[in-house]
Amino acid sequence: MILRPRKEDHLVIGKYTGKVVTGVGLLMIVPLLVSAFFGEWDTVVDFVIGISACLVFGFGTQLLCRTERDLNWSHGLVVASGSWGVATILGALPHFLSGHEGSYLDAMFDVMSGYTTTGLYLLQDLDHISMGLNMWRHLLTYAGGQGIVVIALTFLFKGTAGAYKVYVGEGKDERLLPNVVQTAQAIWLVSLTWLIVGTLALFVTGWSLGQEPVRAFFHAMWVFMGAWSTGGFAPQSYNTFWFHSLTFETISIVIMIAGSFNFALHWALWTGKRKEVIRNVETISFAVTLSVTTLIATFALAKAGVYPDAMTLFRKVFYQLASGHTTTGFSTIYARAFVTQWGPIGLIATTIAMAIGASACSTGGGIKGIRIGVMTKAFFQDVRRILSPESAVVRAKYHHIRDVMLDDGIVRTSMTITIAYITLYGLTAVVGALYGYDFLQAAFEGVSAVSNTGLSCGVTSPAMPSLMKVLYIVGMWLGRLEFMSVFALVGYGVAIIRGRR
Amino acid sequence: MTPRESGFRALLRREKWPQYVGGMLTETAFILVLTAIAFVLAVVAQAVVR
Repeated sequence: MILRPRKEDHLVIGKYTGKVVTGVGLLMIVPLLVSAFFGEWDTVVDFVIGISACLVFGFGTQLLCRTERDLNWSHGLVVASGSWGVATILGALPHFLSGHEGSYLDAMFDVMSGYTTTGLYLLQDLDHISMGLNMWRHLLTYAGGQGIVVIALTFLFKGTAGAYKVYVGEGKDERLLPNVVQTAQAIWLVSLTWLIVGTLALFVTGWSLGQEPVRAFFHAMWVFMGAWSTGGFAPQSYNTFWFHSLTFETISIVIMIAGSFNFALHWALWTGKRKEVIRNVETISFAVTLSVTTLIATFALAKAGVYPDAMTLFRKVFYQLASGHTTTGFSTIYARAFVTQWGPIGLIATTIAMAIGASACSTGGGIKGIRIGVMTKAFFQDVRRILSPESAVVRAKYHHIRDVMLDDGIVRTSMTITIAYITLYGLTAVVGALYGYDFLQAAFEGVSAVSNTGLSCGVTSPAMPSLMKVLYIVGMWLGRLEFMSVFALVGYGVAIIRGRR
Repeated sequence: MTPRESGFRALLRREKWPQYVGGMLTETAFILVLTAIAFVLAVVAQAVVR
């Protein structure tokens, strides 16, 4: 029996959604200042309109929904998914007003792609957009990687016991420290330290490659944000291929793989538990699946003779595979080269890497290494059980920060989420194929969207059917929030209509 | 009685930074090992195929 939500439920959800959207409005001040610094006054006006819309909605909702009640679990899930939806609609204003988007739907696609750290885009003439809009694109993806709610937790939710429930709703369920606000602060510490070090390394490289200092700084910061958040946005349409630099590629590989790590793993390593990197089920799973998919693609492309020497083969294959597996979406080949040069084996290897994805509680998407590790352990546990005497008790455990006994509940949860991902991957592939795209290419692009990767083989374009754009927007949203909080939002809507009093 | 340090300030204390830097270096080393494995794979693949 579904109970119809009461007025108090609407008030508490409205209040906290308003807080998160206010945070998005305040975030727009950064690109506004960048636009003002570069004298881009049209863009300044676009951001003033965007900020006004967010603040009117945010403060207006908080004013209308005044309540002292705290969040419960279902409220937290609804706030997490609902605020991402509202933030996408209002956050698309500067994109749309820039004149670089074909429609408001395209603008929303790009903003959802940013928040979800996907990296696919429909924006036109990327090489000539304003510095302010470029700042906004990359800030979106950096903020989305941290989690919009983590930002709100840090600055706007202080002292709220229910904040943890919104945090979980955003797909991050690890406590690095006993308190959820301290956890958010530790996540910030790791991300900001990497931001300073990574931006500096990329800036020095860009500058030495001949970029003038101011541009080198902004490009370094944006590429860092794209890599660390596993977002994949870059300031040029050629993506990171534009730099043609082994040093730049190596630094960006380090940043994007580090960005794909679980924040709990970062924190363990940063607090002295160094061996965690070779014991953790997620890093082991990542190392194995990345090496296997790289092996498949490397031999396929070597056999096809696509690249002239081992160095070029290594640079091209490992970069795309690492980018795909971490769900970043940076690319050093042309989009169509996946089809014309890499062929079916290369496409399949990359699709598998993207489908598996990064670590849980990271900035990345996909099924996640921990679930692959848990299901693999469960498989071997079952094989051992079959081979053992009937009376034998076969136990298995995995290591993630601490040793965890493998029980049926953990395996069931892993399988439920994995099945949900595979179903959505399949749905996007079938819809693409029904619209006339080659099935393999439709699957590649669909998996890229749902796993929040952003690699493209050319399917995503402003000319693609509107229904596919909508499907990809929903797929990115579901994939990033790992289904449950979006289902809670849908359930909330159903309960309003059909629930009992 | 000394005032309690705020949460974020406590995380930024100077004596914690060697640990943090060690953590970052461990992460970087792990990633570079994976990169080296991919390079070896490319060399072997190119040699085997030829």
